[in-house]
Amino acid sequence: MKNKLLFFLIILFSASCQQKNVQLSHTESIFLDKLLQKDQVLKKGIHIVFIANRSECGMCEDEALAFYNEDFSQTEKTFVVPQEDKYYNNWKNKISFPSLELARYGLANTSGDVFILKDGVCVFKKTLVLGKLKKLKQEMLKVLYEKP
Amino acid sequence: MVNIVTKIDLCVMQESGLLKSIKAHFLFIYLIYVMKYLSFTLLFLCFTYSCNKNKGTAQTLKSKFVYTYDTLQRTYNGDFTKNYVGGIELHWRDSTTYVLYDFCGNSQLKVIDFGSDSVFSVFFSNPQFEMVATAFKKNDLLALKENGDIIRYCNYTNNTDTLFNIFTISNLKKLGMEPSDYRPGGDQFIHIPENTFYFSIRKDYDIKGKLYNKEEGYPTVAKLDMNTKAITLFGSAPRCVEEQCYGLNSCQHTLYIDDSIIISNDWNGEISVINTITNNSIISVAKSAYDTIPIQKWSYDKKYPEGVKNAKWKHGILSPCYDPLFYNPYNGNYYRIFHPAMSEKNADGLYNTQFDKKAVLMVFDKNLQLIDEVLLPIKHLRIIKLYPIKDGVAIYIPELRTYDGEKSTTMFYLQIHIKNEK
Repeated sequence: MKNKLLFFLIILFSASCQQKNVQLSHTESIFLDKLLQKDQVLKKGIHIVFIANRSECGMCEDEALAFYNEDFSQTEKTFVVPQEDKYYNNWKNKISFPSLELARYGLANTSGDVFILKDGVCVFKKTLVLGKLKKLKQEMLKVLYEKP
Repeated sequence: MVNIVTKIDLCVMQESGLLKSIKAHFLFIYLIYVMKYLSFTLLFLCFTYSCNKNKGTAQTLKSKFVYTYDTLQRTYNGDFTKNYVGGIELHWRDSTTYVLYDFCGNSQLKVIDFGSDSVFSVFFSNPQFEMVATAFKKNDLLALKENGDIIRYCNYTNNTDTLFNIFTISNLKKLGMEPSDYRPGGDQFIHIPENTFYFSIRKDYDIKGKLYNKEEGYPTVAKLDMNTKAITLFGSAPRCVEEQCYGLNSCQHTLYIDDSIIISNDWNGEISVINTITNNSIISVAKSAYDTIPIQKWSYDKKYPEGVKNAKWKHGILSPCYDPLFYNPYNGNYYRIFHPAMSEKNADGLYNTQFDKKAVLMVFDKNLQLIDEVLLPIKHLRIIKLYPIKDGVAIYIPELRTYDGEKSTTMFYLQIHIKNEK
């Protein structure tokens, strides 16, 4: 009986320790598979992936760009950028996707999207909304500081 | 077959009580069979009728003209580091000559056809634009700035001089109105009288250009007499535009021919013609035969107001939309492109995009009567612009433009030659 209880507690503990995966849509899952195929590095460790789209106006663009450049507990950042746009040429850790393909996955939102990957598994996904980026950063940091 | 067998069996058998009841039984079955047959026939007839009816609709979609296509690539480089770029000549295959003008700080690229004395505006996104209206007069360009200044750019000397300010000569400010930048893609000026300068106006926008006044019915177009400096107002903002109820498809486009102003809506086939001399206006509706799913009112989840922009964009992509009306001075016809409604996802479960949006070319006669429609071999949303050529129309797709912060490359894509009736 004691052993059974111990076994049950171990299972309960290991289940609570498991990271919470985000339920991705069908198209987002396809995108993530393709992304991991393109960059094997993302399969190990913690990574922030920004889907960087151009905003509608210069001012908004600056806000989004500043957000991309912020420090997120020194987590490695990767940028998914539209293949056709030369605008993002000087960015590091850049993976190109045709903008049409991104749109097909529902990832052509005006200010971009963000994924957090832990060992290739998506644990956080949000669309960037200008004016609400402070809150988004807090949410991201909370996920990043969560112990595995 | 059952019918024949039943009849033969009945003839061979002798009459008896039992036989009579069997006969009655068979007769009953026979009647049911006949009724079944009749109902099937009736259903079949109904089906055939409905098919024929659909065929009739399809026949109206069949084009009367012969359309041939040429794919073109015309590249233009604009240097945004200079204030005034000047004109670059484009020679088309049918010897029509167009000149493209570009101005730093302007939201438009100008295409001038001196052969037909017409000017087209192309929406050209530049966050630092300050000019809101332009017009060519004797090879000079007149530009109206947001602050109300009318500036003249000389084509040959590159000199500029400020003529006057519209706010000092009118009560527009008191009326809460200001010059409005052109709607994407529209606005064509043809045979404009020497001393006339047309510009669009809007009412009560905030600094970011966001509408906060719900007022409807205010004028949308101004006609300025350069000699007398008198400004006359025309048009009427529909309620729909004010409430932005159709999201991205709430635009009105304006076409100026001589003393007439022709306003066309994005969200329906409505066209209104205003005579600026008599102040008479005629409103007509010319809907595309492909316009089978009506536009839905734009809405978003009030619980998540942060997703407004994306919701608006999605509504814009999926909704039916009428592009600006263009006039062809060479044949007197008008053209516009219609984009039918589209489903959110394709057969593979992936999202449809702006590059999946069908495009239908609508052809109107000189009385703005729809005379033909043809489904184009390109799929593109909204950003398709038309340029009349001698035997048809050219389509310009600015989305194919590349922009690296300083230089811009513009591409002309398709020419449609419209031949005689079949």
